[in-house]
Amino acid sequence: MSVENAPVVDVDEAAIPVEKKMYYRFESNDKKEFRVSELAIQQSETLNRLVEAMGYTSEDVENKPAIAIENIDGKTLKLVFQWCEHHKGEAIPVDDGSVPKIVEIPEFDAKLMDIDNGLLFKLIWAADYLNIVQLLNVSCKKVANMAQGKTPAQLRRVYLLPSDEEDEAAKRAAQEAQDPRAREVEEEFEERKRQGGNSFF
Amino acid sequence: MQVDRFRLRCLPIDVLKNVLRTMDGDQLISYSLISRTTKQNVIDLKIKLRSFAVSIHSKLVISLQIPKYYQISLTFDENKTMNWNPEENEPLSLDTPEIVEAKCSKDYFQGCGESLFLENRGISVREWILHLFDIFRHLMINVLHLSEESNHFDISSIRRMVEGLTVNRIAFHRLPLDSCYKLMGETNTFLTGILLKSDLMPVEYLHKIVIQNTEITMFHSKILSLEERIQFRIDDILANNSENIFSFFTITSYKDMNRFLKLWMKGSNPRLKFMDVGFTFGGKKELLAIMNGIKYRVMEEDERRVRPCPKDLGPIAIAASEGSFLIRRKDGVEATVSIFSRRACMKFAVWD
Repeated sequence: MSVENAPVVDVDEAAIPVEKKMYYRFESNDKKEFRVSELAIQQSETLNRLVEAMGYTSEDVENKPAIAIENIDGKTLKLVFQWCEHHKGEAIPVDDGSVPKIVEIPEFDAKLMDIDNGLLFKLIWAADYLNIVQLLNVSCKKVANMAQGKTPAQLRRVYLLPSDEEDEAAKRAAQEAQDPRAREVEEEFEERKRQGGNSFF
Repeated sequence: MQVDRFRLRCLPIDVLKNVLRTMDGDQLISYSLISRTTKQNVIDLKIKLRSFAVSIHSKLVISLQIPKYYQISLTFDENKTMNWNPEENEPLSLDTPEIVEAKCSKDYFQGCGESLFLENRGISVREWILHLFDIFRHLMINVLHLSEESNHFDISSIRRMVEGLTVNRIAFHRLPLDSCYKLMGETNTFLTGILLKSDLMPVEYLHKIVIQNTEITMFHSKILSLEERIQFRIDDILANNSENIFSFFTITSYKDMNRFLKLWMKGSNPRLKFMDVGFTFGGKKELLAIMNGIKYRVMEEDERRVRPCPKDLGPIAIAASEGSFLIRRKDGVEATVSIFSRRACMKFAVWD
């Protein structure tokens, strides 16, 4: 097991009240361990509820096994916790449902998300799973920015979007996969047509 | 160059929606054109437009305004219309432009961002309008502006573009009289309102146009709005059959207004529901000449009548309160006359 003993980012000790000075240990699905401050955890609704429900003391944190986050790998989780530590104590934005949603990407976040699209994809999934509202907003905005200056044809390539024909073919395939008999019936029908039969029934 | 790709459709649907919500308006329109599914994605965002305006001058521009100053504008085929010369060139057609320039501004007071040039693959302007109606679930063109140089375009192509669609208001800006007249003739079947704003037209022709138009559009014309700089006479209002008349900076006399009220009491302008006439202020004492010889009752301190303003004319309600004059038509229908000396206007509201 590889353990990262130090916090992901330096903590400003003076800024944290004494009673809040507590760290939790989390473990990714590839067994990487992270120590994250309680204040940083508050950025994640999912983790915040989890640690509240567990009611760990400082001793428990050290003595009990790290909390496992089974569907996020270490590389992604590292980015998530870096983001949380940097933005700890910040208010969590409330979504007013407006469209278009105006989101600015701060410099730190832009640098943090200077990653390949595969990792960005995982980061978004993680932000969604852990319910980190603002991380989800900025990462979604990063994806939205890929559309800047792109025509529909270019967008289709960037976002790997299927055309109408491909969508229909996929839908048909899914239907057939659900009901193998439908395909058999269709093939039988085509065969009869070739043989000159004018009625299937 | 290797293009970095992103599997957008593999995101959870709520997250995909969040990505689209953070896209700029022009990007969103580009996205909606990819396939039926992407179009549906944009429809599902339930974006509400505040207004859908089509302006035709040397080029055609569709402006979509979303609340909070956000604006998307689509300019059709700008290059083709440059250097157009009426002597040498055929009238331009709006049917299938080659290029659509899309841009948006988060705050239209601050100007627009970079443009996105979309090659238009045989999609007509009308189809564009219908596509935008679909994705923004909007039902009408709120205003169709026709300005100087719109006469470069073939009028029948303008008609084809908007035929069968609801156009809430049409506005003419600095257009020659014959162009206005032809456009009115072409557009009268879909018109619900007219807004004239021009200092080019002589009064006598304006009179003719409005009367002609209101005769043609008797059952369509809901709003006649005559904006600043128009010199308009009460006779023109008497000849008009609109439900709502707004007329500002009118060159008229209190005597004319008095005559109008008397004629209304006898049964003229039976469709009229509301009229707001601004006039040249001639002195506070003379104001009461408006009510000369008219049988009226002055509304009392706690008396008040209110109803919503006609659709698309703004949030201010039509109201009459203390000090307004209450008059009655021969068939018993009541109306209020509110005179505002400071704003130099008379508000006439029918309460049936």
